[in-house]
Amino acid sequence: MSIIKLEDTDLVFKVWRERRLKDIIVPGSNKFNKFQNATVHALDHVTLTIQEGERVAVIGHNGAGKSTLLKVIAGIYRPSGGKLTVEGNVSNMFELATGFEVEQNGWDNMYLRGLMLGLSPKEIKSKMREIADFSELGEFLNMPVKYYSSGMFVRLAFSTSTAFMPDILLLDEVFAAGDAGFIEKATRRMKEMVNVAKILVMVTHNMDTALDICDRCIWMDRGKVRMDGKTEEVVKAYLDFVR
Amino acid sequence: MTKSFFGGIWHDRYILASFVNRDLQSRYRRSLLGVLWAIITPLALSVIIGTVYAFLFNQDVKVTVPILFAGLNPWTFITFSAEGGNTAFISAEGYLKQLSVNPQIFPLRTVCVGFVNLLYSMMAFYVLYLILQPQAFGAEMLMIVPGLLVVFLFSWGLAQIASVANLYIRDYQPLQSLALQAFFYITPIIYRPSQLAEQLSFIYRYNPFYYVLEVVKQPLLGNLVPYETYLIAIAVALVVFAVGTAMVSRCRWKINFKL
Repeated sequence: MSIIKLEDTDLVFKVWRERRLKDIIVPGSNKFNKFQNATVHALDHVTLTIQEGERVAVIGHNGAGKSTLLKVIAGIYRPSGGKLTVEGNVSNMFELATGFEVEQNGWDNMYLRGLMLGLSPKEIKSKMREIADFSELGEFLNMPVKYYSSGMFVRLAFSTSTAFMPDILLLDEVFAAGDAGFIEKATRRMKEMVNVAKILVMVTHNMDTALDICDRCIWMDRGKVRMDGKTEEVVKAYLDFVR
Repeated sequence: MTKSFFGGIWHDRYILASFVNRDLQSRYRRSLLGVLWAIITPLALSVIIGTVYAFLFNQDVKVTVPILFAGLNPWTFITFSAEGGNTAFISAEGYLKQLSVNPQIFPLRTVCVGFVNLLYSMMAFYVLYLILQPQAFGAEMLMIVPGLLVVFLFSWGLAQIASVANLYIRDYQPLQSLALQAFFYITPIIYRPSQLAEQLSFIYRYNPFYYVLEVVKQPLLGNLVPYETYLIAIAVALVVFAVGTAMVSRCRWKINFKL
């Protein structure tokens, strides 16, 4: 039974100004730099529950806390307050072209990424052929990934992240760089995944993607959940607000 | 705290192994001699410095070169770990911000790579020593095992301290490399304690690096180390390791925001 449950979850982080020894020794030497240490309230007492079988889109302005929400669920950030329960194994795919060994080829990166998603070497090796087929990268897999285009990174990362039928899949704005054919294929896979009763949470700026894939939608605004409900209703409210 | 620290390393052991493997491969890729460089570099360095010193101070090359080599081996490992620690988290930013990997494996990764290189250069040392002074070989040399453990723990501690300190203040890196450079000349590596006048012996007596190096250097040469030296070396290594581990554990959840 997979579930994501946030109860009054809070995330505050400090933003530090780069500190140099000079600033400590010579008082007032940083007078030209107005930026002082500040705190950012990235998640402001969020309470929500996502049950098994739900496909959730997270929408909102830049800096609304969408990606932070995903990273908290993924266990990359620890909430500074409140409670967080995540049951089931999580697979995620966030920023593009980071988390790759650029000098290594596609196969090596696939292996490493699989390990980081919590799989054993044996499990990954048994799936590598399948991942390669799904990614359609073919010969490119033998090439160092520093020569990859952003679309190729998407293919590699998405194919690896979804190959293992995780209980919970978290995606952050990943399709922008994929071509039409791959987006269609990936969409189909995501729908399939949820058919076997798993959770999908995706951050997107593309309302059509949200409408196509997700049955529930969360509108985030300044770290708070502004609206939560059926995708059609939330998307409509959001678009009305933006216009 | 310590439980989650070591538990996290165990959890990500395959990732660690994979990184270390890659680092070792990429270090020598595209060079004709490949991994042989790990053996040639310290060997050539010791022969060069040793010969020059033997000539300058009118000493026997057969004696100076092995002593120099035996000291340089652990020293290179220590500095490699400490220097590598500086960028351990910074270079792993992509992983730390994307995937839920335990950050404590990254300083350890550098230390492991350095340790494998140390083992390679030790092989070079033994070959050279066997040619120069075969009579020095004996059961005493087995004491290298506890010595290696001590120097590993010490270097791991330094790498962890550097990894966290450098996240907070980027001046740590140049400061540390200056300090290490200074210690290289202070610590008996290119000279021998017996060459110092008695009133100057405090230079190495109060130097923690001296003790940590001794427990590796002397067994390499086939000499026994007095147990007081072991006690001090172990104490120094444990303190440095404990400080480093505490720093990394405390900052566990701050690292992502600092990058």
